[in-house]
Amino acid sequence: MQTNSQTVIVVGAGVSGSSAALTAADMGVEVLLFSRAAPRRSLSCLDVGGFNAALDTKGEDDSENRHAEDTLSCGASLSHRGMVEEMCGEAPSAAGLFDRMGAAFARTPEGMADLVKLAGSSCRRSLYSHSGVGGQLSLVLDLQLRRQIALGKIRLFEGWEFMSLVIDDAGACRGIVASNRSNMETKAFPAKAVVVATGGFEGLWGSKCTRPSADGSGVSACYEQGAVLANPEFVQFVPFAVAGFDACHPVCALMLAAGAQIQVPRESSAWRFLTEWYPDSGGLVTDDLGIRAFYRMVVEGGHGIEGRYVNADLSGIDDGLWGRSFGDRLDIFGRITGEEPRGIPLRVSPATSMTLGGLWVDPKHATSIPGLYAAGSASCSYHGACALPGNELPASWQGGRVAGRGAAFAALGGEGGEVSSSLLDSAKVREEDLNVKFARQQGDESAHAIMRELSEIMSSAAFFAKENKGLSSALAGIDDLEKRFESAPLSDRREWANPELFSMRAISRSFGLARAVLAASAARDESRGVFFKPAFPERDDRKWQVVTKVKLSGSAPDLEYSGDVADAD
Amino acid sequence: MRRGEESGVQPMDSVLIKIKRQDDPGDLPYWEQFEVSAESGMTVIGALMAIRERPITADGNPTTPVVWESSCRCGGCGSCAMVINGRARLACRSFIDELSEPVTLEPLSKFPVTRDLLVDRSRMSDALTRAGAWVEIDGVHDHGAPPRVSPESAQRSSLLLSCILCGACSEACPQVNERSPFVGAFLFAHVEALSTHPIGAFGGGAMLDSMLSRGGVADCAGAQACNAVCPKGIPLSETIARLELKTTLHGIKRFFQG
Repeated sequence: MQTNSQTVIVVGAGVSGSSAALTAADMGVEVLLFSRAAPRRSLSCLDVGGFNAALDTKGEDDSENRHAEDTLSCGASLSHRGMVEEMCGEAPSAAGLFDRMGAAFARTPEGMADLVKLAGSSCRRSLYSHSGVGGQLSLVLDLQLRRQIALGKIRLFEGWEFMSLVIDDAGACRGIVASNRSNMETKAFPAKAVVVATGGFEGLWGSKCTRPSADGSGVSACYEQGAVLANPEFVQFVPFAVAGFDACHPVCALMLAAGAQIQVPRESSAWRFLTEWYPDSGGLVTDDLGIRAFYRMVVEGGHGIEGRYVNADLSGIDDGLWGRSFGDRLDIFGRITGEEPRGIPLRVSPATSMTLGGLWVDPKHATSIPGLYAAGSASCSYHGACALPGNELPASWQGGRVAGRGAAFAALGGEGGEVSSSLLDSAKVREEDLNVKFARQQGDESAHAIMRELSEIMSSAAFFAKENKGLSSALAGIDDLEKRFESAPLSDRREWANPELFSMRAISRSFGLARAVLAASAARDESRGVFFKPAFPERDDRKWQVVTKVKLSGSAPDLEYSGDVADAD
Repeated sequence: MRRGEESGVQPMDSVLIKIKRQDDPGDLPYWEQFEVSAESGMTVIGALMAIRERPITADGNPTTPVVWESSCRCGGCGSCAMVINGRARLACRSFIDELSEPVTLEPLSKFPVTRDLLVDRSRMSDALTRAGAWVEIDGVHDHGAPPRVSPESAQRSSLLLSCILCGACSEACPQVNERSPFVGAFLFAHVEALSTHPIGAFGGGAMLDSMLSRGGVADCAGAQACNAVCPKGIPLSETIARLELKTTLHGIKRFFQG
């Protein structure tokens, strides 16, 4: 296909991908935006928490600096100070921008955006919406994208799946190969620079504790092609979630801020252990402390309900103030438990919320592959060892801005000549050959059953409390599953709208990613942020205040450590 | 609604699921039945996952896995809307033991079928584009303090903009059909919220103009079927009434001002 020489490709249309696409389009380059589904349906919509921005409208002397300090402290000194400061500096104008786009944040009586104090923040700093801030942002960004599409500044490839990068002989990224999910056409698209904003890989932990659509196939495609991963062992676990049969639903930071209480039954009254153990914050704790408290109460103390759960009491949530904000979630809680969720304490336990690691990026969001940028959950960027509640969306937006700007500058600079058609053809043929290989697989295994087993391994060995023995047997388990996968036939061979082919590809790539998580977890003998290894309960700054960098070598992850976080001050 | 209320049935071991399938847009639809062992708390998504892992019909014949769309699994993304037991619902919010047996799954009928339960809802986003349903901002750069908005207006907009573009309102609406440009109530929720926004109102005239043309708000026949099916509880009939009044006033103004 013909593109002009100033083309930027953005893969993924959640908050980070939309941010990159809109930023690059404003700079006058041609943007091709690839998305599996309509941008409104991206997983960014899941965020029902808040949007942290130091607006300082509550007379509490908040500042961008305080926001940065809270972020770095929650991230247990594993995030890049300069990047965090920039994100916190940009967050107030980003909040204003979403307001201008029409996102309906909750208001004070004076008509200002209202702010709430979430766990880990030293003051009221989080904008929120009565119908979920992630949904509001996803919607207004979708509409802004449609506007730029109508103006001809962005071309949207909706319903296209990212297959792989086009990499030239010099090792630079020169475009992507993508497939149309309806007519199954595979095509190579040249570009001056590519931004990968495909989200995280928490889907490896399976549907019982997270969203399987976050399958990490975008990240793993780049990892397979030589991009360096950073901190794959850091995974945000939400300590208190209601598990359904095929999905799970967190008691989120905003609910805790609104008065949800965590407790276990005791003879006379409920034991509100978080309040007792963390009196300074009134029991309003970040996820790193929450999972440790859960471990201490349930695993060590043996006080768990059925040995597995604690209770969440939602009766203290003021319906008048918060009823609308949590309507959907309360409805789901009620339907899973079969009870009025505010009438009885809910059984809750940890779940996987999002991966903090991802493609390694420098402060300009450039990955280790020239011409390739990454943003949002696909990158390892702002959260360090634990995400500060309410920072998820600002981090995605900021990452997209920086990556989009970097990619647009690269395109405008006109580096590199035209991409040769033979390079594009060979990249395309490689993917088509891979499809043929999957179509020819024979045997009596089921790819989905193998994926389910993989997620069972991840959610036992790589869960919120890790031990080295479990991690090493999990690595052996992954090898076994990968071998069995070779005997899993493609269960649907039609050449029209065949999601099974894309599933097979994602599953085939999840083994490598799972190994990176397990190997990096096994190596890190300390506890930091949400990374918790009870046999090594202390944070070891002397040895482990380092970023894990993982490169694929053969089929094995090759680990290296870099002290550049510590140097960044 | 509590689990089991609709049918009064007890949790069952195995449940019969009838699925209307279609191989591609040009083919005729056909039905297949599946037995799925239902576990507590299983939604229609869980049942479809079980069928995907073991694609064998109730008669024991191997078949292809059923194609459907889903992403967030908590009612936030609108992907998994389909017709379940005759009514448009989100599969992720439809619990198997709340549904009477056999559970029938059909694709939304107001959109072209891509395959099985997967439909092409691009006419929804096309309609938003045609109406110019967005705020005309100068760019995504810093711009100083945003406008103030009253708490009531913000709360109302947040509800209107909680739309997940699932298409349930279009499915339920008797006015939406192949021969009409009328696409459903979701469009009016967007236009009402964005034309009320302090900056959106500047360019709101164009949005309201589009509401005066065919397929606009005046084409609503007041069946109010949309209200009952919206999974987000958006007060669609009330919104349409508001927008009708606003559009009429806009039309009169335009008539006199030329």
